[in-house]
Amino acid sequence: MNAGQTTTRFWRSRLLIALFAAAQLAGCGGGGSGDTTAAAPAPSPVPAPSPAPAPSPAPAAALAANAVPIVVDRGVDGTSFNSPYASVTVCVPGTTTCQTIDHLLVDTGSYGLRLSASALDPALALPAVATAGGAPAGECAHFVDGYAWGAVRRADVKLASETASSIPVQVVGDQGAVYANVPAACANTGANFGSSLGANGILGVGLLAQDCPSCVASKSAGVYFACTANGCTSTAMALASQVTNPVVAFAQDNNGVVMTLPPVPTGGSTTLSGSLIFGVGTQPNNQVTTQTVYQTDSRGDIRTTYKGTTVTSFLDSGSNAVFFADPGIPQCSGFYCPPSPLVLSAVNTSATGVSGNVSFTIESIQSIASDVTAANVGADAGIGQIFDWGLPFFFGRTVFVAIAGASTPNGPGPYWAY
Amino acid sequence: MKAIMAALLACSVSASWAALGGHPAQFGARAVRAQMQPVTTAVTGYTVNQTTLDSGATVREYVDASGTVFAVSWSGPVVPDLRQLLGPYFDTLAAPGSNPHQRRGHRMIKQSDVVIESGGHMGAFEGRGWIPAKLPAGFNPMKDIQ
Repeated sequence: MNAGQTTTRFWRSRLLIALFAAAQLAGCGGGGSGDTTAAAPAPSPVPAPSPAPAPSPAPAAALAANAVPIVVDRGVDGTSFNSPYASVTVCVPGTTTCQTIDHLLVDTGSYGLRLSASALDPALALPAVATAGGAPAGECAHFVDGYAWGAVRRADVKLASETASSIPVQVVGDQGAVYANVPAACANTGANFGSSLGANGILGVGLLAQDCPSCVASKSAGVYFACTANGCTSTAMALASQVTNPVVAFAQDNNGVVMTLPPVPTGGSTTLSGSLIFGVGTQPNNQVTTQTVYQTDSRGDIRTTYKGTTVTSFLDSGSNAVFFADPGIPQCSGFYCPPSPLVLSAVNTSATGVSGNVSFTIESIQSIASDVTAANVGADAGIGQIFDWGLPFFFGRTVFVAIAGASTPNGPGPYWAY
Repeated sequence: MKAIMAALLACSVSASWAALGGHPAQFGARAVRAQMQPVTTAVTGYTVNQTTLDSGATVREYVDASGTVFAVSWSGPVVPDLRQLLGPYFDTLAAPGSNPHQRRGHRMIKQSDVVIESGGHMGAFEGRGWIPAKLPAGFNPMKDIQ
């Protein structure tokens, strides 16, 4: 743990220097080129071979072969709130050199596995993914809250009995010399989100198979970068080399996921356990039965009507509140703070016109005790015409995520069912 | 050396870029296939510049009669260069939050000098920012910023 903290501090200080450099560059007028000049890097150290780290003990609860536990706890730094976590085992492709990493944020709003470099054993030497031009690929993953900068590397990804062999993953804050400086084109997209506060990474299991379809054609998306000793330059990236939703690379149960969490009472819960099941309609434990299928558009969105206004919406387990606009609800500390819990309702409508009512509860962030890790809270989405069904939507529900283009017994994805 | 020259060139080109609070930005200088497409003109004494960037993102600048950008918005599959779009207000967005329960999934900054919102999800982002003190008479951000 101490070593890890030292590594984190080391990385942060390097990042600060990089950000300072980027700010200097951009300070002359805002933007500049996508390149950031790097000092001549020392050769990357080659980690000595070492035995595989000891595997983590299997979870106590008996789970199906296609399911992993989800826990909503305080995270690795004690700050997490409404954050669903799972563990994953990553291996050097084709080997038994593996490491199990806990506290990955289970995120239906993104696609692909992102690991914090500070959580990775340096002995786990994951091979770099190259751009079409042969340079080591860096990635600036865009999130609403900011960017995650790091290397694209290959790993075998194991979840329960499922294995995604040799898929591209992102190593956020990678120690490789060519990735050391955050390019200005990345730093200029927002705050440094890293691998999400309180998490060792992000497990993106949303509706898409890869994380940037628009990067196939555009070399200036500012997401994938060709990295050399002279810095990193934005580049196009073929789908096959992009950070990949691990689920689509499984041999079976590869058309989506099911997320289940128990209900959360008024006042919140101090701990919450659920499961992430792989496959939709492929096993007895992942059949769509009483749920309604909500086909999404190509962006992964449906529509929500609330108090007479219809806006774009989506289900995002990585959002820690239900974000929607209601000028009538008092706010405090960035969240809604009604004097007593509000029972509200909205109507979700699919891209094909299927609709259904959603009843949801919003209680004040101020009524949540400090040891509570899961609660039905909401927050203002401003004027942006967005309704973001964050983690509270998942409480007490079984939510299906069918990946775009995948076939299921209920028709092809992309769809949500709940 | 090449990179240094590129940086100097960027400085000389971008010296007049300002975006929010200043003059409209010159996105065309960086985007390979960028086009300027004014979509609305002189509705109530302001104009809207819409630019589709090579990245697929769309940005809009709301410019008052004096040529000052008083509001901006963006949408698309990736986040555009917000330092360029938000100008001096970018640092406000990039600063980490300080609430004990930090929001994750939607950014909202409401200050007396600027309002910035950022939402959506990976592959479908949207956001906007405006300077309350510089809105033209009758301009309603809720209705008039797209």
